[in-house]
Amino acid sequence: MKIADLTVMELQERLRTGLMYQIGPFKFQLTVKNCKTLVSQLHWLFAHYPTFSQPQLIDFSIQVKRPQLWRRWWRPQVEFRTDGEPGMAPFPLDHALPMLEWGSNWCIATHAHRYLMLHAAVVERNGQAILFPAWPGSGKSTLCAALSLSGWRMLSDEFGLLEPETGLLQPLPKLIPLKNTSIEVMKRFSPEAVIGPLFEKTRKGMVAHFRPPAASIERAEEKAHPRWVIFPRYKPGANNELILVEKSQALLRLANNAFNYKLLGVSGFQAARQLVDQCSCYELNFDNLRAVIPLLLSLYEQQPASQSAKSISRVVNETAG
Amino acid sequence: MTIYCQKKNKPANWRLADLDQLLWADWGEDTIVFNGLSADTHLLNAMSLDVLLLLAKQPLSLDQLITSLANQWQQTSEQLAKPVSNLIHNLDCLGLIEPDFT
Repeated sequence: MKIADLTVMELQERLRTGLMYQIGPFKFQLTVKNCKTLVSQLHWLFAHYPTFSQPQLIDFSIQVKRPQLWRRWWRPQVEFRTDGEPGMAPFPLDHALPMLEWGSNWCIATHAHRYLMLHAAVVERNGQAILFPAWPGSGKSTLCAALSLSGWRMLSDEFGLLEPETGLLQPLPKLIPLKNTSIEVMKRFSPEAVIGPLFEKTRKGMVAHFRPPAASIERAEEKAHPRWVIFPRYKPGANNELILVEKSQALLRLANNAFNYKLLGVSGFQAARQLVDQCSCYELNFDNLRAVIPLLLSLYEQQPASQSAKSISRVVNETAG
Repeated sequence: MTIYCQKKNKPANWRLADLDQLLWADWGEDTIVFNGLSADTHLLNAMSLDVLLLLAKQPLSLDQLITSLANQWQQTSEQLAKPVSNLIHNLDCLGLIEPDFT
């Protein structure tokens, strides 16, 4: 059953006692109290996520509720809690959805250490994935949203979840938080873009959430082979070009881009090395989605060969011996 | 920079901190080394790599290292003395090498 199969009233009742839903590999139990606006936003934007009524093993138990006392009337606020503990400082009541999204990201970033978690968007076509590692302001989310409406399957926007054992990328199709000018860009890009309400003056400026296409959510169990690592950078006046990045530089950039690389230690390095080894690595400077999408499609169609790493550990060990 | 053995009062040799803890990646450009002891990742230039490769064979003093590199790179020991000394200091600070007092 999907959340869309519930009426708003049913969803509100489920949220009051704890709505169980799944995004990618993670099961959430969300309790929402006294936030009617959030309920209707979730009904719309979470429509395609699967929900359960039977007891499940839950990864994250989270709560969104209004604090007690005078805050109910004077500048009303909303709190995010995980397992009953405050996850972050309260937000204004009308920013409950961005808070829920950032709060759930925080839960994943601090717990999901069975993956190498890269700060990256991921899209896939016929099983071959492009990883877009980037920091905020790079245009990563806009690019990911646009590609998801252009024949690519969106795996994730915020987290590139890499399984160290298999080297595969695990989908995590959460809402994409579009920020500031990218909101208008996406609205103009496609009438198919489902974009939630505008939240002004959040901690990251103006935010609106892009809903991943239904197919991305329905295929969230299908992992993908990483094929390209592309570091995107939106820059007005850029030439919309791909520039080859040396693999050693790509590996260093990934090491500095992950949430838990150092925490994973050797397995984090090995996973990142394997990822770079099997991928072609580029930097993408762009200022126009209409130009970038055919560029990435031609890259996909060319499928350039990847050069494997020399085993220098063997060289060093032989030298030592 | 010279570190002396406490008992023998002679310059200490340098050795790799722990060869088993170093993991490598090289695609024919720069070399990356991951230090499992610190979980730090380093990009090595040619001189750093050569120093680590020499120390992987056996512990060496600073003077021995300079002489070996001078032969290898066909330069004079005087030319290499300061950069190698600085490099040894940096590699020591990064935990990739350590003094060998044995």
